[in-house]
Amino acid sequence: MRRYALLLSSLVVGLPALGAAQGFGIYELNTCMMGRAGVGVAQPCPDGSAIFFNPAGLASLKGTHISVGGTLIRPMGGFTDDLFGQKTDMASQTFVVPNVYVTHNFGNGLAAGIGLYVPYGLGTEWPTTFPGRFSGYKTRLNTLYIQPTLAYQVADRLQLGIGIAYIHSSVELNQRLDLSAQALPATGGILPPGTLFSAIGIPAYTDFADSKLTGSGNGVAVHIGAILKITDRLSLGGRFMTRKTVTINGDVAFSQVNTGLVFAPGTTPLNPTTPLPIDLVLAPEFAPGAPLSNGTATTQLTLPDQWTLGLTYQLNPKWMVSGDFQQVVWGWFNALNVTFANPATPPLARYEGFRDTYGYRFGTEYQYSPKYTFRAGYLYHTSAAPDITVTPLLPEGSRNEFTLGIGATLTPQWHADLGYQYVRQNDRRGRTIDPATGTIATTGVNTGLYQFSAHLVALGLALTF
Amino acid sequence: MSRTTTLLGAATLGLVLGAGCNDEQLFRPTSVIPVNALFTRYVAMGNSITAGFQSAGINDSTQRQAYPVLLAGQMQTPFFQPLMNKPGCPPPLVNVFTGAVVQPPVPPLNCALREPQPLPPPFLSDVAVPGAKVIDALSNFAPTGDANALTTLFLGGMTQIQAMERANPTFVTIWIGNNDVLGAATDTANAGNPALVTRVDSFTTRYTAMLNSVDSTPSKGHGVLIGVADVGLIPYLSYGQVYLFVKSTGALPANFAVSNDCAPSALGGVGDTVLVPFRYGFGLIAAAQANPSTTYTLDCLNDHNIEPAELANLHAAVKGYNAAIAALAAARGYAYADPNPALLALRADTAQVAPFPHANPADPKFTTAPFGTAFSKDGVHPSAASHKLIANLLIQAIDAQYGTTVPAVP
Repeated sequence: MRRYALLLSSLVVGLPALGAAQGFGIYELNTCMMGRAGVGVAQPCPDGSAIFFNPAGLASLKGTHISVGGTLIRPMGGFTDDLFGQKTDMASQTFVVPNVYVTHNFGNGLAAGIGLYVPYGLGTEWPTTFPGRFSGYKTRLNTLYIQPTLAYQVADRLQLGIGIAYIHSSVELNQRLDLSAQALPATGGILPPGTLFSAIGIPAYTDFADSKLTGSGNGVAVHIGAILKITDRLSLGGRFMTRKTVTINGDVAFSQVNTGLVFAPGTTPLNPTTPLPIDLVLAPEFAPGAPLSNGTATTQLTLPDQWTLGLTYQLNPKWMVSGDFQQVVWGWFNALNVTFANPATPPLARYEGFRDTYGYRFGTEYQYSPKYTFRAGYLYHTSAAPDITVTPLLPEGSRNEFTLGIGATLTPQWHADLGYQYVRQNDRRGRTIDPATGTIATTGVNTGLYQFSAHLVALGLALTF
Repeated sequence: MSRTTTLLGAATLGLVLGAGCNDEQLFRPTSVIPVNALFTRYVAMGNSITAGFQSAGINDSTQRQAYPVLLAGQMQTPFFQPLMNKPGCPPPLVNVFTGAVVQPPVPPLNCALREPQPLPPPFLSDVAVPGAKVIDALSNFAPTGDANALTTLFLGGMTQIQAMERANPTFVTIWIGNNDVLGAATDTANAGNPALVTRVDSFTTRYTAMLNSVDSTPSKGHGVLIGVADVGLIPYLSYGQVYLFVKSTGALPANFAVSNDCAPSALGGVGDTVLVPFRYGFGLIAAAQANPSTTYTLDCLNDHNIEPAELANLHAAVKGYNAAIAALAAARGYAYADPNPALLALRADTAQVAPFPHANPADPKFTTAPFGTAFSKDGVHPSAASHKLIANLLIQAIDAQYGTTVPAVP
């Protein structure tokens, strides 16, 4: 049944886009590291967070470390349309992103640990009056990594590490469906098959259904790292995490949204003598087995390869500076396929055309006193979405980010960190509507400007014994 | 760290930051930056004239010639129309005498439906519907209403009021009410039928209700209310004496007769107070041409014509409507524009308003402009030239009321 092919083209397709967007990537997975802009693949913070930032770094730690932290993320953003300059703000939200790391050095050069972190997450939420609600008005993604890790001091100046990450991803996508973009039911030859509701006057942005997709999936990724101490002051580090394509099995639930539209008698060939309530015409489409009946969908969410290479230089015993370069390999992600269990629902394909992202991180740390350490950093990274794929699901762009942090040694065993980060995304032109299934959007449908910024505050506590 | 190193580091950081900040910009063409904030979101309500109906048809070409499009252009405000595919719905005439249309109509509905738009408009600015009376702005289900296929094709089940509210306008123009008398004037069974004329008190009540809805939007008190056109001024309707005169020139078939009651009142007839609809008059002439052996007579005292009492009733209705509209405009702060003086001035020039029948029918101008250059080929709806005239009339009214300086349509 093809009549709702267009409708379904806009469903679910945002799902992989969530993961495929740099803006949903979270690098603030430890308070100490956040204070210095996440830089330090060559010298991670000594609290166990090396499990994510470079598994090889575990070999440097002595004894046992337990660190627990959380990052509060408060994004702000909106869309301003070209024609009227009218701004729609994203809903105010605050996310809490936890991290836990436990490590132990066995004293023979071998260290082990396990970490729990969330490298992909967050979400977007727009008012249901926003034109982009048909792409998605409330989106959530959580991707939890649990990574057992081993590290070994291979030589005086060389450390290697490897982790195997178990991944659990869950997603939620809510969106409205626009009646104007749907094909009319069969009209008995009065109108050509495939005629859209818009052709008979249904206004654009007419909500007639609400869909909610929830789904989850699991996978495994491998994470390796190395640190080479080139001199007593200069270290080189690198890490590589393999990509994982997670199969997401989801449930799709539809509910009808009343349009309230009624065609007057005699104004269409379909109702020569009686009023024709559009909602009654559409109601059967939500019945079991119909194209808009609840069901399941399957797609794939790819968490890409990512690698980081960096240098750390110890200017003097108190002052360290670092620089990292990072690449996340989104570039192969060009198309998306979604299949539905409901045989009435055709499979979907959508062009995405994402591109690799690059991050440039600079950070510094100053040991002010035996008790206090100050940190600062700056980072810039590019976006995965090309100009034709900047949407309400993730209106991302290149970002400048600024960080500050402080560490306090409370006792010989306890250490606390506080960090702040400001994210300032470059204003980016984007669209609020999706192209028809099987077609590629152009920048011609970018009708306004997305703005985005965020404040992040992190608190961490580490125990060493 | 040396001072040089510090400076070098700072310079590098500055370069990186500079390269990183690269905001893209809003793209708002200057053509849609309103000349006055009053015009931020403009909505036009009305009937066929406002919708862009010409030559008994409508398509995206005629729609783009409509006066609200011209007005929006001068106000420099975005304007979104429910554009119809070519050839139209129905296709406009190219020859009123043969019935030929611009392109073959699209079967089976004789309607090419709405034009797809790659960028769906956020709302409709032109919510006018051909055939709409005032009551149709309020409801698509009124027993005395005239909801039709274009009501659905343009508004998709909404009323004009609902479509207007969806746009949340800051400025409106309303030209509606013409069909409250035009339906009677063009009634084929009994032209001028008083039963088809909306009573002035009903008209006023409905118009007030419509205006109450408009006043609930930001456009409250910001707009132009346009008076109802006098149906006696449209060339679709010719005075009976015109037929008598043209008959006397020998331009009409020999077997087409014109009754003496079509003489002007000074000569004992009613020809200067009776309007003959084109459809009826031309129908008789065409029948005479087709059947040379049969005589066809135009009788001015015939139900097919608008007879003196009926014409007086139509004039009284229009006068009553316009008095009500003008009073409402004054009370609520709207500008008021009366189109009739301008239409009357056009009628004085037979090149612009050519009454039917023509004394020299072979003149090619009567094929291209059978009712004169001011009217389209149906004799009812203004031509593109007259839409300019109307737009400028409105601009004058707007500038006078609101102290704006909207440039005239060139």
